[in-house]
Amino acid sequence: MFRIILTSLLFAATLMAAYKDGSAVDEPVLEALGGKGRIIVVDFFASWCHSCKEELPLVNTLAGHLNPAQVRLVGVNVDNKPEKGAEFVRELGVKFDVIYDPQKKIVGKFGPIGMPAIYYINAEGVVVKRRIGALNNIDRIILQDLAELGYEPKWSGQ
Amino acid sequence: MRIIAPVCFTLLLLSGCAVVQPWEREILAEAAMMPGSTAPLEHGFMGHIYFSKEGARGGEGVAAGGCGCN
Repeated sequence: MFRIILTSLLFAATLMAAYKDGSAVDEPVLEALGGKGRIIVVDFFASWCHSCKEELPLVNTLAGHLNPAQVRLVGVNVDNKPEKGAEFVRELGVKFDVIYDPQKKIVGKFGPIGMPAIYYINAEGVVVKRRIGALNNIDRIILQDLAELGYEPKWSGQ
Repeated sequence: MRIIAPVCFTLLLLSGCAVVQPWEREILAEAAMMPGSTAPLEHGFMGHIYFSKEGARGGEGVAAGGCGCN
């Protein structure tokens, strides 16, 4: 019983510690993702996640149409072996910046409840929106979300 | 005294429990973790027999393993 309680508490603590809308991102994590001053779109993915394989090409195309002065799109690969993640990134021809997080230091802070997961961080370093799981037409969804955050896209998706 | 042994045994079993986070499901997502993945033909055959006998089908899991995707 004690074990169950302890496990539940640990799990609850993890969920409680995870970033939600309105959470300020810790300074080291924010620095790793690109720092303050512009909107950051963080895309968590892994080579073993089938939905990520569908979603990443759309995100990749979108990344090429964003104004880097206003929006930074960064991928976080959570494969246990970074080389496996790198091969996946190469296969899909991902052009945006990808951070490899085999120690799960970044993803552990965000604590998404599923993969893939997209987090929006505003220019002040606060999480403002989350998109969890596989979504159709993710490029358009990201553009809509960015428009809500005040970014005026010059491209409307595929 | 009689209750201590079962309690200890249960605690021993529970010590194997661990919370797997969505981003830690790499091994669980491997094809080998799917039921019948090592012998798909045999799995399909057994499934056919099973569902015929039950007169119903479904509830045998979904494609791909445990990535936590929607």
